Amino acid sequence: MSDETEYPDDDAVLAAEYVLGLLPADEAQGFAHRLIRDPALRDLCDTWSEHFAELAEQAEEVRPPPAIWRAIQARVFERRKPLWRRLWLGQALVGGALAAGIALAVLRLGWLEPQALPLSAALTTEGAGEVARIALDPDSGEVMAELVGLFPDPGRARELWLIQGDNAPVSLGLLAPGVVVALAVPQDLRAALAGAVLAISDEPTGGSPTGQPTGAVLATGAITAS
Amino acid sequence: MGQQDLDDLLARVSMADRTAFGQLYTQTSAKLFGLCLRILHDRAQAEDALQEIYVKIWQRAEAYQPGRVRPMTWLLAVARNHAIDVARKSRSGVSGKADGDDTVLDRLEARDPGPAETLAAKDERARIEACLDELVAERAEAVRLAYLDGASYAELAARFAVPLNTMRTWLRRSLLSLRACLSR
Repeated sequence: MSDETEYPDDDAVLAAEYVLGLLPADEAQGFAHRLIRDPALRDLCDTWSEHFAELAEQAEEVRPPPAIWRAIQARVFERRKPLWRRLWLGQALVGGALAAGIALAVLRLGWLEPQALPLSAALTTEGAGEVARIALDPDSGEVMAELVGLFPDPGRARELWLIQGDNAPVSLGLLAPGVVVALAVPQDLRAALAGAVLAISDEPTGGSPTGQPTGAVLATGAITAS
Repeated sequence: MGQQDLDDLLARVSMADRTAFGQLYTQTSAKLFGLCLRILHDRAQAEDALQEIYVKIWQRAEAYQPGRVRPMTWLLAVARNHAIDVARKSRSGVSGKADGDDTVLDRLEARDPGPAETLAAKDERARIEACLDELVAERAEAVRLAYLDGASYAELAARFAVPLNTMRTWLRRSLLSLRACLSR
């Protein structure tokens, strides 16, 4: 074929080859250097990325197994988790205002949002003791929750509910055994969190199908200032 | 899931907001996992890849610049690039064996869409699909292979039984036609 050596020297084509990862290493490196200085070249790459993303979006969506999210959390949050655990323990043992103040000061030095959340609840039962540890921020609605006891049987789940006064329970989401999960309190419920009650119910996998607790209520606890 | 919502979530993830990271995962993991499976054709590899991809997203969210590309485009690019790396490594692991090329070929054959898939694709035709259809079938296939299988020029040349230089010329011309069509 006569066209074997006729490479179109069009930057648009180079950009596509770069985005696709087709360029030989030396050319890719040269192109990457040009990209740093040349916004027009970056635009070309962005445009190709958008078009090719449409191909990617044709792939069928598949929900990954829950263990993947737990593994990701363990890796992403691993350096901070032991400290959180130590502090929960410290709070339970000491609980004094001075100790809590020191703990907060220490925590705010880092990235340790969950420990610094102003509200908390320990959900307990007479028989099993502590079942879950919850920390909440009434401003952002952020909830960090860990199930530490009464782990669900296969095919069952543990759902966390917020109960304010005489109102019907509102689901905050599902808890995971031994893992800190991030949940959120809906905006309109954040004002009256202190003094409200949290409860855990036994539900089928995926949570209550009705929006209200369908299984036994396993543990409850009041939300108090940390 | 709107683009604005994903933009906000990515911005919060870049500030190490765990809640946002959880929400981002809930809203995007099925799409990224689907892409990993599509590229890797292996469930265990795809699961490992998905973990690595979200660790990268957590670590590199600040590299995402809103307004340049859609947030989903950025997420898909992180996923695609990682999955392609894994696919290439595992291919180079078997390339020493005699059946190395057959593996690539088998994977090509296995990907013909079934009737349901074809229908679904027709319902939601992306512009790039319409433009790929304007190319000669095997040239369009070469572009798809490069994107979704991370095929190199050498692999494409072997697949289509043409010299490497011819392959590159082919593909570059296809990309030029594609660009002309996409910018119409």
